[in-house]
Amino acid sequence: MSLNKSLADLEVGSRALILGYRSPPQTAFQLRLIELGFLPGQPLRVVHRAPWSKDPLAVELRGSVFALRREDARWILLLEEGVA
Amino acid sequence: MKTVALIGTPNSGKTTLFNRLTESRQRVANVGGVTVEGAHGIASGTSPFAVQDLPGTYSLRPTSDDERVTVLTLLQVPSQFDAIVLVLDATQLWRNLGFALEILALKKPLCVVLNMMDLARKRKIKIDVEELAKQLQCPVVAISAARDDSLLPLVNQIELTLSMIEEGGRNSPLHLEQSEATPNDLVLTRFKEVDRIYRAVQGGAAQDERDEWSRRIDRVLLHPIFGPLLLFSVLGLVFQLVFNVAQIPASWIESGFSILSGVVRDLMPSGFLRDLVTEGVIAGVGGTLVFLPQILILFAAILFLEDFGYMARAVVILDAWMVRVGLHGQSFLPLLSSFACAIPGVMAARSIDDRRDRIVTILVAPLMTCSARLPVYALLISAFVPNTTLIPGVGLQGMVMLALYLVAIVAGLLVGALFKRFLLKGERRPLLIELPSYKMPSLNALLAAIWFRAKTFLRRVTTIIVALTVALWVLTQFPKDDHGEVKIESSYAGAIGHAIEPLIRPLGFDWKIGMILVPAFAAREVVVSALATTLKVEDEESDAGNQTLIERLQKEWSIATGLSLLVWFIFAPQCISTMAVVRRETGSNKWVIVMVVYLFALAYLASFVTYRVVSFWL
Repeated sequence: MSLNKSLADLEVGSRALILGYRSPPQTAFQLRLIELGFLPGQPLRVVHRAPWSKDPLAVELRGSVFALRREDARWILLLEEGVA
Repeated sequence: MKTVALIGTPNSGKTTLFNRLTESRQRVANVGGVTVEGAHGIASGTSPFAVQDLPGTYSLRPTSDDERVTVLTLLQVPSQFDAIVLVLDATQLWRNLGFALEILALKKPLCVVLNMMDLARKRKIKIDVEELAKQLQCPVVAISAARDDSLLPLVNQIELTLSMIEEGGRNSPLHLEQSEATPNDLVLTRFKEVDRIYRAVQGGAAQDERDEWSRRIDRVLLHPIFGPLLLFSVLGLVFQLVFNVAQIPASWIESGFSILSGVVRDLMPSGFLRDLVTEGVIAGVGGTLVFLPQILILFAAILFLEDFGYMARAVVILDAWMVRVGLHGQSFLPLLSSFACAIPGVMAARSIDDRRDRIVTILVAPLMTCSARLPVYALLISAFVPNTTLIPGVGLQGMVMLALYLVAIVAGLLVGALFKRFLLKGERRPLLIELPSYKMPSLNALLAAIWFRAKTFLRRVTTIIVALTVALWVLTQFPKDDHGEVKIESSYAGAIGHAIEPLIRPLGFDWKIGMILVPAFAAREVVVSALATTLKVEDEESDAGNQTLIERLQKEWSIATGLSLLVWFIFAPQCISTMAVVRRETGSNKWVIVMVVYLFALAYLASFVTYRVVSFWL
């Protein structure tokens, strides 16, 4: 398992836990992600990725699904489930 | 009268609750960005109170202009309201509690509504409402705004909350958390509290599971291959419905108006006034109203898909393509509204975070085929496109209609990309959209929303369109010659048409079309009645009075001219109300001028090419 695995690398159907962020949250967008519950320790699952470009992706987190783009998803670092 | 501010996260059912409380029928949807301007209504009870519906937001840290409206309203001193009614989604309690704690910290009189209890029960989610009230230290009322027969317990609670407020409460200063902690730390601390409360109030396990149905439906609708295919099939099906089903009620309306016209003709003495009523007003209103069924069917379909939750999926499917041309998936919602009418579309662009993205979206919004184009499209297609069947159930006319929509969409994307590239350069903005659980739209809410649309359309027909039709008709009646007769060619309207004919002749348009394009600049719906008026006026000179408008059109113009006109209507700026709204939303004339100029240029170019190509082939 690489520590650099991010939400952008997660395949459809895979589950993972949020480990942390690539950098301290700076943009309004990053803070909003945190406010929506993208917090360290939270489990998530990718439920959709667009064909070919794999962008955007849809993430299920605590009962809701949010769509975001790959380049933005890269900010969220993951711990693949089963490893922790 | 005391006022409560209604707030909540997007998709929490806030607008449904607003409609139930105030009985005002306002738009409700399963996608964010519907409540653009704070709507106001009065709730009746033993002591009536006013309700202000504010755009949904996930936190007090706004990321778009419409969220900013909510946050500024909440933080304003003196405030515009006496108490807050906070709507929480019972199926999303964990996430919603974060926002609740943020609101609680404001220390304003507060009443919490736990909404969507029916869905929560269905999904076996158990919430201890009393415990929640104890934890939050404020009243909590559990309801289902969409399904409950009576909302009396909630109304009573709000009245009680309001009755305990002292005078001058609106002037009390805000309690804002003063802290050295970073925003990130504040959120983390808040969520620790959320976890504690959540553990205390929830019973049973598997609370955070998504409902199985939405999961299954998404597996199909978001499928890499079937997803996009289904999206296009759905759009195709909607347009077939618009064309085939709407014809039945349309023919009733048509015969109704011809009967009405006959009755009036018998009752009134002949003369100017009678002609004005029958040929100006009745022909004008009738000619536009015939398309009411089509517009309502289109709206019903859009509303159904929106309330069902499909539109957010469409954003996700289309974002991949929109990004490639430099646009943003977020533009999809405003652009989609523009298919009904550009005005709500332009206003909905407020939910776009970035100003440049917002302006690009506003600029291309009028390119999306609004319902006012339907009457014109329907008439011109019926007249100039043969009614052949391609494969059973799919007619050429319906396909041409679909093509007109697609051409407009492609043009919109290209124009948007060009603007983004040269005029409004900027970095790509993040996309973040919630895909709500699928919900079966309630029939009542749907009917109410459709009725609201019908009312808006009728108001437009009975004011601006009647006025323009009558004005044009009057212009075709004067000046009279020595015998008290008037030839349309020498009328004032004819003179206007002749004046602009040299400009539009390269497009295959003659002076009669020129005559129509002038009032159409103010409102394109007027075209159908204007055609009816001018061709009918001319009919009196010939003796072809019994022909339908479609037959008259076919006789009057070639297919090349007809198709050129059809293409003109895809692009030409023909709605004064849209221009007014663009001016208001962008705050300057600059963008209005940019919009009008580029739209006219596109229309001219496209019509010119169409006319030349079709003339060459036919």
